[in-house]
Amino acid sequence: MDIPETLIRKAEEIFFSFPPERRESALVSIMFEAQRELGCITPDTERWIAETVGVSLVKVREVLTFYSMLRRERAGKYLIQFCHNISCCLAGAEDLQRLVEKKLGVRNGETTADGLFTLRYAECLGGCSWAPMMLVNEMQYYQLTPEKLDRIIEGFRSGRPVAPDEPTPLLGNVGEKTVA
Amino acid sequence: MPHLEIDGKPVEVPAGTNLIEAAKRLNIEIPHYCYHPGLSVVGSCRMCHVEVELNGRQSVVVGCNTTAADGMKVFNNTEAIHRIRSGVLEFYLQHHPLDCPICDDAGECDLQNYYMLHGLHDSRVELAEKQHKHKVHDVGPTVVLDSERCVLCSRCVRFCREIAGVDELGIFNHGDDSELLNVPGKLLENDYAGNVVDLCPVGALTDKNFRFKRRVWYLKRTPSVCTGCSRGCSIYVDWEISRSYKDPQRRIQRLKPRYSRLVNEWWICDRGRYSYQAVDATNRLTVPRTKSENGSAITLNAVLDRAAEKIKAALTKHGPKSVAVIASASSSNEDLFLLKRLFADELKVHSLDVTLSGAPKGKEDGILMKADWSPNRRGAVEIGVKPWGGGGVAGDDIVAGALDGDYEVLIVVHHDLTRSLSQKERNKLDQNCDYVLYLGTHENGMCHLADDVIPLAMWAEREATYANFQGRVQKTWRPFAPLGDVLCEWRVWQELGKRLGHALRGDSVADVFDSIGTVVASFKGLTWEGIPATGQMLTGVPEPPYRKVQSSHPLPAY
Amino acid sequence: MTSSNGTRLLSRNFALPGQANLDTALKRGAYEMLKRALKMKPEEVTTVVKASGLRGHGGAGFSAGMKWGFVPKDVFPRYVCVNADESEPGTCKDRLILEYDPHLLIEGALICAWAVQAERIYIYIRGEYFYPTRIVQRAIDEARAKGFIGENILGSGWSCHVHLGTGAGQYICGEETGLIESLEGKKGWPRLKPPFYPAAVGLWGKPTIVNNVETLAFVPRIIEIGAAKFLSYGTPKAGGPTLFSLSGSVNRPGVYELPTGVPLKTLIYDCGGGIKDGRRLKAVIPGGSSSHILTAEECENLKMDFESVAAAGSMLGSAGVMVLDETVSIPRLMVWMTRFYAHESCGECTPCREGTGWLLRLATRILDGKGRRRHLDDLYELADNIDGKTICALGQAVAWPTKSYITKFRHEFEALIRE
Repeated sequence: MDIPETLIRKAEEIFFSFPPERRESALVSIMFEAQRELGCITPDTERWIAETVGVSLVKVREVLTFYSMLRRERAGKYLIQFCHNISCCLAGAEDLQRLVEKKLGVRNGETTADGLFTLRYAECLGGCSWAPMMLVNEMQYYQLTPEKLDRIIEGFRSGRPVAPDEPTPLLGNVGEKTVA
Repeated sequence: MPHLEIDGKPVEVPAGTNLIEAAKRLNIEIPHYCYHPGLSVVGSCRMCHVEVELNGRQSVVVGCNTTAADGMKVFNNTEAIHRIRSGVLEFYLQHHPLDCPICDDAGECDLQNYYMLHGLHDSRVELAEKQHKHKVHDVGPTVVLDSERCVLCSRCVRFCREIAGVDELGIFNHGDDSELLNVPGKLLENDYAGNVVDLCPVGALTDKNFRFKRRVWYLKRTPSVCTGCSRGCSIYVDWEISRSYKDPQRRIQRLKPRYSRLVNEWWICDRGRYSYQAVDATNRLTVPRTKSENGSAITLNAVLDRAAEKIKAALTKHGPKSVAVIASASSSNEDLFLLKRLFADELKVHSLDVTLSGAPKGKEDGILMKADWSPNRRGAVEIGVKPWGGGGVAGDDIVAGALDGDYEVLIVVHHDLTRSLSQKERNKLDQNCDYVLYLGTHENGMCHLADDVIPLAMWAEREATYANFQGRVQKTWRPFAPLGDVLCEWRVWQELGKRLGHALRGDSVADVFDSIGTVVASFKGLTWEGIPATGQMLTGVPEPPYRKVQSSHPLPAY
Repeated sequence: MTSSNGTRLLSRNFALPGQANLDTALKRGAYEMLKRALKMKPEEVTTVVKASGLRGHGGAGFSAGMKWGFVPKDVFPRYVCVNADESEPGTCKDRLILEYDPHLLIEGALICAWAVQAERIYIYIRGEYFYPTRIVQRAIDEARAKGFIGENILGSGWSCHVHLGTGAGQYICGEETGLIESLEGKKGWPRLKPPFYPAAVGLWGKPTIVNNVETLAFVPRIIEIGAAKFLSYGTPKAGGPTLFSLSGSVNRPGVYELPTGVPLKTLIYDCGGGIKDGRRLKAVIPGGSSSHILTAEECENLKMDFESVAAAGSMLGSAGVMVLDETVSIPRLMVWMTRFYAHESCGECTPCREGTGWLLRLATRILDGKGRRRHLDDLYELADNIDGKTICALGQAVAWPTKSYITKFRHEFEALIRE
């Protein structure tokens, strides 16, 4: 199969980060990178990974099916990972869930008919103090309100995405400037 | 050696012993699934919890991962432990299908057994929420997988990796979607695949050759030895013959490994495991045959009479060099001993041998399988079944000589010479050798070529001893009579000897075996009754060092 | 509002722009403490960290210095794994360290590596932290270019390499042995302890220190101000401040660096501005979702340090403080919580694998009004059957909250029972 040059180079970097006699340790990282480049892990990709890393097909599939971020089928252009854990629910995520489902016309795990959005409910994404939060592909969005959520989705639809909240806002006393 | 107490009973164990093994010494079972003495400890089944008191501290630990310590008190039977076991069992039963009425494992299932001992609770699971996984999944040529029944003990996964050295099974997904499976396109097909059925504590992995054949509580179990190669793994023959309404010709239902620390530990190879199929095969020879009456049935006495006649005539007219014997290293010590006594010692036949270069052989894989497929080559060597007397020729040359007409009488045991002879050569042998006597177990080319055929009893139908490649003499026990009441080879030689005027002593196989030591130095001191279940080394041959039975390139458990 | 200025040891530079950039960080003294530590003997560093009372801030609260001291004398090589898998619900403070002061973390990890003579550091960041990962990778590259990482660091003769490891969406890879398994390219199935205590037998079978991001980020400060001073910012048993992640029904959620042992009321009312919309406090989950829930009464005089919270029947854990007001339905909370553990159970051992899903289904049935009275007892009993019977702490992580919710708020569950 045709592996993009960029992935081959990234794989080499990853192998370099492990001792040479521990090449198999690169399996999780390489699969993660392969998915970023290729969109998902197909059986052909599994075979390439098994060969390159030097592990069995069984091992490759064990890792592929174990880690919930790794997927065997492509997602839409924008994968929305919407946190449905405690702090986000305390901040009203369940209401926002109903909104986003209605707006996109899909439920958890489904992709919109135009292939633009896949909606997935995720476990705690580490944004509890800025809840509710979501990830769109690799971009983090916090303090969602119905209005902000709407703006973000429209932004992706129109090709003028709303900038992600990078870095995470400094809420709490960690954001205070003065220190004794 | 730590001294400890289990349920109040004292026991002393070697340092490093875990609590499950320590309890075994007292015949106490600490329930477990994932633990197996031949595999790595993973502690994942959580069934083997016990209460432990050491140095005044009390704790609940898993027995598989706790080393016995001096002064330790182990409690296997407390209220708390019962509750823990019952609780863990309930988790196993949550999605386990109610397959007992159709599951092979019923009767030897650790889920059933532990439920009766430690559970006995009613279900509080909603049937609608039961999970469904693969059922009747073809995971390999000899094994069927039902991953719904699987308790995810990972014994099979670890066996393939640690012992067979291959990665053919994995546990995929996470949480309660976890499932034992193979990957598409890659099957469970290593040479030891059948062992996973033994290991599986439930009916998730079942043997295609045994599936739905017999309920295990009807089976009778007889210890024996595999005769597939020169390792001679210890086995059990599980058999059943009284239910004649179901597959009446199938007497042996399955073979199982029998633990033997220095030979095969807990395992056998698939070739050996399924070698029982030959015993009840439809092409077994059950009656003597003769060419002279168009291959029709003939009595054994008539065949023996004629054979004796032919041998006597050849010896009288042309001397011992006109008779040759190609014996077999698949024969037992008793067979070979009387064969040598009769032909070499009494009749002075010089050309006798067990070795033929064209004999089929296997691969030496460094785990269990030996290249030499004969179970008793060592016995043949010790007993001295080989050419002698300066004029005696070896096996291959006997065949060549027979083609050239060097012999009046050729006796062949087991070997199917026709496999390496062209049609022309077979005709030549037929023409040039006056009398060919074949002793065998199955229909083959020799049955058509030989003038007379004497059927023999097979290893699973007789008591016999074989010496494996280590020099270990091992016994088979007899579960049932041979098909057609055919004789053991050593009896045939006795009968033949009688007719040739040579009485070969021995009323029973034990008699014959005991007498070997009076002649063969390496058998001196060995008696039939004295041989233990795991065999006995030939005199002067030391026990081999312990070696863990595993691939030279084992894979890690996870 | 109580200013905690004096105790902001770790986060004091967060608000200074550009700390992720090495040149900027150098201006405020980044890696100076590494220099100081390199002049000390490795065992001395461990002694100082032990005396400082620094406890693990990932959840277990184990003494960091004591863990470092467990490395067996003659076994090499050694490794350090920085646990940046922050996935405990309610916890969001490591993220800020990675985004705002990655050099502080790298410096702390290097000092730890020096103390235990490790030759490699792996910073294992959860896969969902895309942005923090980019920041940290850049910081590592900068630090390497400037000679703080690599061969013969700052002329000390000691070499240490720093690389990233990545998670891919499984909470169990935040468990120290699950992390190591993942770093070794496998499923994150935790290992049996004993024998696989990482400090003795860890990454590739070698001694490995696994510490949380926050724990290691405190280390440069300990070297800077000394053990006694650091200890004084906490309690005698738990030195230094703690980063509290405050979320839920408060007016000012956020991350607050406060002395360990600060009264919970200070955190909620002074820092957090009290309960939103003037509502009443119902309960608090003090240490991430794996901790027992505490009622408002139990929170009255609670001090937020490991010993005090344990004495109150819960745990400080990762200090993920989730505040629940009177409108929060505990049966609904039970569904949110059990759903998390059911999704994150790795499947290795039976009680957790089978039990977490069972608890979720029970909780869902009760919330949907289809529950029966005996299901309330089932919830408790099944949780109890998981508690303490598992290979790793995920078992108790679902059992403790379940048991505490049903015990302390049984009336809310009973109200949903029809029959």
